[in-house]
Amino acid sequence: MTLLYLQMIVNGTMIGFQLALFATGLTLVYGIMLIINFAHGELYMLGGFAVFLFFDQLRLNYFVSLALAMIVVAIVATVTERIFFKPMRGQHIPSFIMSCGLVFVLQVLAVLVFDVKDKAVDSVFPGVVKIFGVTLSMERLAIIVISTVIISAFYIFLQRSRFGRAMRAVMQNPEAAALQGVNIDQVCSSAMGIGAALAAAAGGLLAPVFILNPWIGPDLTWEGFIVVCLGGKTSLPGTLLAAFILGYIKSFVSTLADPMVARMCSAAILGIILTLRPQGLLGHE
Amino acid sequence: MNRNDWLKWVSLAAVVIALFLIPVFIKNPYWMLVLTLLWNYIIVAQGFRYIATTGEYSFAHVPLMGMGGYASALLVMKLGMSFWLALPLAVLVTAIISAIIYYPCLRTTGTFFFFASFAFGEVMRLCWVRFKNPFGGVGGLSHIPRPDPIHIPGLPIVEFTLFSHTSYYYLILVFMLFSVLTMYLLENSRLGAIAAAIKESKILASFVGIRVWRYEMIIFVIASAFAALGGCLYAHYMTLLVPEEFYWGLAIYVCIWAVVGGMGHFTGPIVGTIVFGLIKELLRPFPQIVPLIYGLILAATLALLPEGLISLPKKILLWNKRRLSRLRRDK
Repeated sequence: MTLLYLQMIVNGTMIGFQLALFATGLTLVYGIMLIINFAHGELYMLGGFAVFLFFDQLRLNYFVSLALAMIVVAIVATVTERIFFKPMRGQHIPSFIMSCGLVFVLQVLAVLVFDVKDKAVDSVFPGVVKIFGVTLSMERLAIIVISTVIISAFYIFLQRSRFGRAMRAVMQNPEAAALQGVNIDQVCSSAMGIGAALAAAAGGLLAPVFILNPWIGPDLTWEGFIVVCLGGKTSLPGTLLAAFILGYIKSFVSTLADPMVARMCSAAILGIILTLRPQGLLGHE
Repeated sequence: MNRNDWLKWVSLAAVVIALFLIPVFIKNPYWMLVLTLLWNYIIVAQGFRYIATTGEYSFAHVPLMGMGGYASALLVMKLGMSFWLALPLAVLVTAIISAIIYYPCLRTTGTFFFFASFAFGEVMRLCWVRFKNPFGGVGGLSHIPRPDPIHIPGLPIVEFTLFSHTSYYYLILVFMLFSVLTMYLLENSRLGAIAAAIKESKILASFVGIRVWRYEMIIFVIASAFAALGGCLYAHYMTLLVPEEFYWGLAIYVCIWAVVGGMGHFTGPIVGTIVFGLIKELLRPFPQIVPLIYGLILAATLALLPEGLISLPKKILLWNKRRLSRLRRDK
């Protein structure tokens, strides 16, 4: 029984990190550019495929391929930001529909390049470890450790560096930030790039655990939206908190009831939080 | 009535007559199926636009279409009702459910209305997947009976079997024309003026004495009733209902048809639905690249024609005028 609960906690933490890495990018993009990016899940999918290409096909080191995947996806996202999203800043619904178009384009490109079959990436950290007499998968623990490193690095960058401060300033008030000499265009592009790199990292880390196909993106995007709305739309700490709440709910409800009920719960959470507490858990009015 | 009005009425009458004459010329059952489904989707897309006349975009519209289909299929299959009785009942049931779904959503506006309506629509859709007993689970409902034949004394019997494509085409065409006409009249009535006021500004509308909440609710319920009508006709036409069909995929497609066609004008969703439907059919040999073409058309339309495809003729006239004036200046 302890085994089951401990495994649920490990799974929940893993899903929490996946959602945290993923939704941080959504929050950044929403907070800075005020656009709804439905194509964010496609960046996750591309990250997974990039790791599949570099690690599984070209046989590079796993960490090198993860870093390469993050860089490639960040470049793709920055280019699409310049082409598709720049004219859409501040317009929620048009940007949502534009990003739907981007979803179609990226999915078709992924199908043409990687084919429609489900892919499986080889396990990077095979085996199990025993902690207090409980068997846990090595891979999931490794994912938790690597995600912790990436998220901490992102937060240190955001809190300590000059550019991170500029980003937070734009999130609070774009006009005031521009008056202080912050280059808004540059911040927008790099927010998109950083968010994409985090999504790609999530995709690359989870690729050995889950299957990979061109259609995994949009479902995750909806969960990302749930996390963003639950956390408070523009609040990054809120996003982190909400990601773990949703991760544990998903893990516990899926195991104790069934996955369909877990999906119902997360959809219901979105509806309830938006109607009863629109500012989210840690957001401001 | 001036000359322009006459022209409009004559062309409208010509289009309606042409729609009724299509089965005389097209005998291919496949194309009949395509056109029948296209007219059915026009009912849904037009309902989507009708909600958007208040300024809100609803993602629960497509799940509610499914609800209409499920309600009528269950009434016919479990209670053995006639289709002609189940249709109005299913529409009524879905209208009540839509009121329950939109009641909490009305506390939000804009994007968050959109997300909240998605959330409640998704909970309803997952209920069909979860509860196998009436709804049939992931596999959905199959073998939904076709409508009973209409028997009016003195006239030949109209049948709706699996092989009577023409009669079902006329059934959906009549309902489509009825829905479009109703929504057109509603939009040009006092209710439409109120919707326009709400779209302009909810606060301003409430200051001139409009009960924003009540009128939004009325409009959403009417639009959902049309979605249910579309779903009902769809269920009995395809004789198959799968919950997966009413997932965000179709909801996004309906949204795209309406927006790319043009939300500002009444005929926008009709144009959008027909254009995208025909593109899909013309590219049938290459089904993989259809979404790519959709995405490119979408991006081009949003970037160049923010008012939708419906504003294309006006834009071309404008571009032409600019070109002519430039030519004249260069001379």
